[in-house]
Amino acid sequence: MSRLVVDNLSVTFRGTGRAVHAVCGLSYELQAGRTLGIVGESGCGKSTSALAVLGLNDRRAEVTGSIRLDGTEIVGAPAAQVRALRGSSVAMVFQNPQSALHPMKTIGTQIAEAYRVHHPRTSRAVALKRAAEMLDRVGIAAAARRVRDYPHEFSGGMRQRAMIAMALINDPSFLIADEPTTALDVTVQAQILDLLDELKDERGLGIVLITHDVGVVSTVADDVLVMYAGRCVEFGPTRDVLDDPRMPYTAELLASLPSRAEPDALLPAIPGSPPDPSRLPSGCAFHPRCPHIDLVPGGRCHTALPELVGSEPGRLSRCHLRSLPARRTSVIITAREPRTGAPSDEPVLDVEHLTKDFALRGAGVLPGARKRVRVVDDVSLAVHRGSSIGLVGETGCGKTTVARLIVRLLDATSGTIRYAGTDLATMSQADLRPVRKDLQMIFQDPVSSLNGRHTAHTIIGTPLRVHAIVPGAGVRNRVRELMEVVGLNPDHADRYPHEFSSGQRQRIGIARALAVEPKIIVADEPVSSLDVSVQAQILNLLSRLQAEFGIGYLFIAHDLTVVRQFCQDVSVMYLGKVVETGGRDAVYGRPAHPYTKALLAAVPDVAAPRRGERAVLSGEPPDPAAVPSGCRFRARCPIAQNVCAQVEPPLVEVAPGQRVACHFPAVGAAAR
Amino acid sequence: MLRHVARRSVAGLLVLLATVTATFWLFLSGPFDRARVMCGVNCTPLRYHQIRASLSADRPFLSQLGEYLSGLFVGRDVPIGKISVHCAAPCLGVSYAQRRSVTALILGGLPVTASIAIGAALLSVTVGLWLGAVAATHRNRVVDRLILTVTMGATAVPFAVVVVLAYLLFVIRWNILSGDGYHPLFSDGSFWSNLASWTSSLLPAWLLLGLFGAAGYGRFSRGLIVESLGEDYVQTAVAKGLSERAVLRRHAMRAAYPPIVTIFTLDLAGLLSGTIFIEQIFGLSGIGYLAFNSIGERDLPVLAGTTLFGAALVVLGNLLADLLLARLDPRVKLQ
Repeated sequence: MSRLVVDNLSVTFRGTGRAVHAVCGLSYELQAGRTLGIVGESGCGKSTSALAVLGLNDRRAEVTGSIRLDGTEIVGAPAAQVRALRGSSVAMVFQNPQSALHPMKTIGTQIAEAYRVHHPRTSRAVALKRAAEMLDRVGIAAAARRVRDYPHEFSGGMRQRAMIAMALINDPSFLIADEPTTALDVTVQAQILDLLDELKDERGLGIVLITHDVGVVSTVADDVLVMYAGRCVEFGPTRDVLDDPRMPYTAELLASLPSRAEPDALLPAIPGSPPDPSRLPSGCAFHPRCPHIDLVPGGRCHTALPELVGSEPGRLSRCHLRSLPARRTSVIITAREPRTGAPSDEPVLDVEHLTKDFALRGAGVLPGARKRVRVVDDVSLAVHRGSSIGLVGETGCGKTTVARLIVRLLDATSGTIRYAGTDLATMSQADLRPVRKDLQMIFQDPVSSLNGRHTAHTIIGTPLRVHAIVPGAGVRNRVRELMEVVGLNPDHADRYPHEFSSGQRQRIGIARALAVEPKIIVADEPVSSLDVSVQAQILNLLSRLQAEFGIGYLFIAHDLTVVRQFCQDVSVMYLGKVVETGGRDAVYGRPAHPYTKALLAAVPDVAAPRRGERAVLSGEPPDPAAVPSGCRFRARCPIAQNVCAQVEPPLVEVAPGQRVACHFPAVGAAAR
Repeated sequence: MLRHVARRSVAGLLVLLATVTATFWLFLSGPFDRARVMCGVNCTPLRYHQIRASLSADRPFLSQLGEYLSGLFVGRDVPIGKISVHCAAPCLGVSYAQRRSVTALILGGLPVTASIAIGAALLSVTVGLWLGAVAATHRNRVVDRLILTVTMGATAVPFAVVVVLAYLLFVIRWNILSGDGYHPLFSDGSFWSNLASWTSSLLPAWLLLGLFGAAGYGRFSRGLIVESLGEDYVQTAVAKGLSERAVLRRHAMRAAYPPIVTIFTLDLAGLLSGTIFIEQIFGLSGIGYLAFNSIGERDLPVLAGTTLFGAALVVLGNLLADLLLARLDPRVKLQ
């Protein structure tokens, strides 16, 4: 039985500035045939520690301690010796399959190359044949033909399968998977996690699974190691750690997950953000964010680093407290007044039959000859005052296009966007300008959606000036007020975006949207690029603002647990169409469309069942340029019949407020 | 693929047609008396009228252009004094001074210029890529800084000055390089001795044009390779267990080729103008030599012909580069 032993591993970067202790004294042991999940937020050192196992850290990194593979020391070993291990004994799968494959070489060439490095006497043809076999094993159809494809001809999920094939072609004992499913849709993520789990059992593979997503760990890992600020803070069997965390960080992180919270309640968020590895707090690195430091006498949390100790066999945790106080689980702060749901409850924004076609580039010279792709097809939705509607679906389903159409960043092909008695869809840009202040947008990426050359003051103050909300002299004060409202220090108004953390940057984006006192905010994946602990803070902020100002949200997200926690209504999109819509309890509790069911089953929930116990949706979303006849979901649908290929199902009401586009809706059945 | 080639060729031909019209208007039918210009200082009325006749300058513009264009495809006879010079297709006019068809003059210079340009281009790109790769892998270290300084210096100095200086030092003073003009590769005598003379006659041109060109390619490919070394797929390649050399050659440098090809086509016109200096100084009688002397002799048909020929080369170079790019980068769609 192969063993990978990491002992007191430290990785330090010494540059011109201060030394960065990315990993400090990390130890773990992994046997072949088991999966170890390493969880942590950005900058906690999880990826750096993984790269060290293969000696892949860059030249500036100073690696100390010991990494032994079946007794062979890797740290400090000659380069040729480490190279011989890479890809043969220990292989790696990276986060982004889009960029991890060479764009100008065929998939087959790249996999065959990995084989031939360690089998130099093998001919190219034989190696390619091996590559095809391996591709077939990881679930690529017609593998013998597809080895000649280039990466751009593969979908995201197929590319990740190809990466796994490349990693496993030399039959390594250990696989290090660094965020292998983060860039993928939940349905594809479920497939890839199942594949990894299967291969582990089949080949006796030891897997180190690095992720920020506790849900992912809970579905496949045997043991879990929680990292914070470069150190292991908790270790143990996955189930035990998730059910009964011993370190406050683990406990708080789990509690802040939207999947564990009551709908509409404020999340028990951890204050602050993960520390910068170049300026770690003294003592216990978590102490500035820990709710329990008062329980430790003598301020030891500030001064002394707690030891990693075993409270019982197989479990380790790093805390001065021997046991954590019970959580105040019963406290539910309801952020919103429940909507009445009465017919008099007129929506603020009423979108009907929204459609958007894009012309395919280069398909013909004459405008009429161009092939057109319908990206959004007959989408209707309503946003109510002080309420949120969630729009969910896989990549390319058209949800972001809907958002851009509503705020008129794009012009709709047809359909109406009714707001305050007018139709925004047909309004001229000049007429639209005064209305724009009522409709604001929050973007996904807080880094690229703020102009790095403007101060926070300029960013938040510009809409105030443009719409003349306050007199010129009052802008400064109003910006300070807004910054306070979103939880930023008003004294930082003259700082530039790069001087803020990503959570703070998203707060700037929210303050900017809020500046013009909008009635509706379209939020396109507002928390998906944030750390879990920061995500809860931002969601709470959005809830609070909604309760205070009665803002209606159109909330676009791929994370179904976030939507359940945050939104009262949900619409599920598939290939440009809404396939199911209704109240949260109905859609999550009694999903009627097979696609909704599959999406919900794919969510790697902390409480979700493991492989084999859940139905995983096969395939990936088809190309919007080639929509199937009849029901567009039929090719992936487990219950499709002949009629589904011929007749497109209309969106019909199956229960009060719940409408579904399916010939065979599961009416009245409870989820799972 | 074939359709793409056909489409691009048609587009290229259209560009050439526009260039023909433009150069014809500029040099042979412009708003000035061409015959007066070509006739020069010691101009007799007879000579002036002969030149006017050889240019068909008495006729309206469109008829002149028509004659020039038809000459391109079927050839024509051009009267020069009492004799008539036959100018075979593709006819680019006739040099009054040399009493020969411009096409024949250009074809005569083609082997020289082609030898210089191809040799220099190969040297530029290979040396440039090598310099770029060495600099990129030693980023911010002494070797890198040295390469950056030297290439920066090379691009900063005017090329003409360097050519003259090189001629004075290497040919006149030290007599290391040959300055006797072009020695054809295929002539009487053994192939090997011809090869040696051919090489030694071209060596100064290759080294000067090639190495100075390499400076630009070196800086450019350094940037490209530094960028691709940071790509995720390079990390994947290292994780496979490939040696540093294999990672660099098969993965990091591979990504630099398409932009290099693009730059090469942009640089093609510069390469041709570079040969003008080189040929002139080192007495190599190529097309650049021809063009340069036609300026002094006010031989407008030759000047127009060489300009057009240069344009044709650039168009052809772009077409080839397009095809090469599609082969190098599978994401480039030939539509």
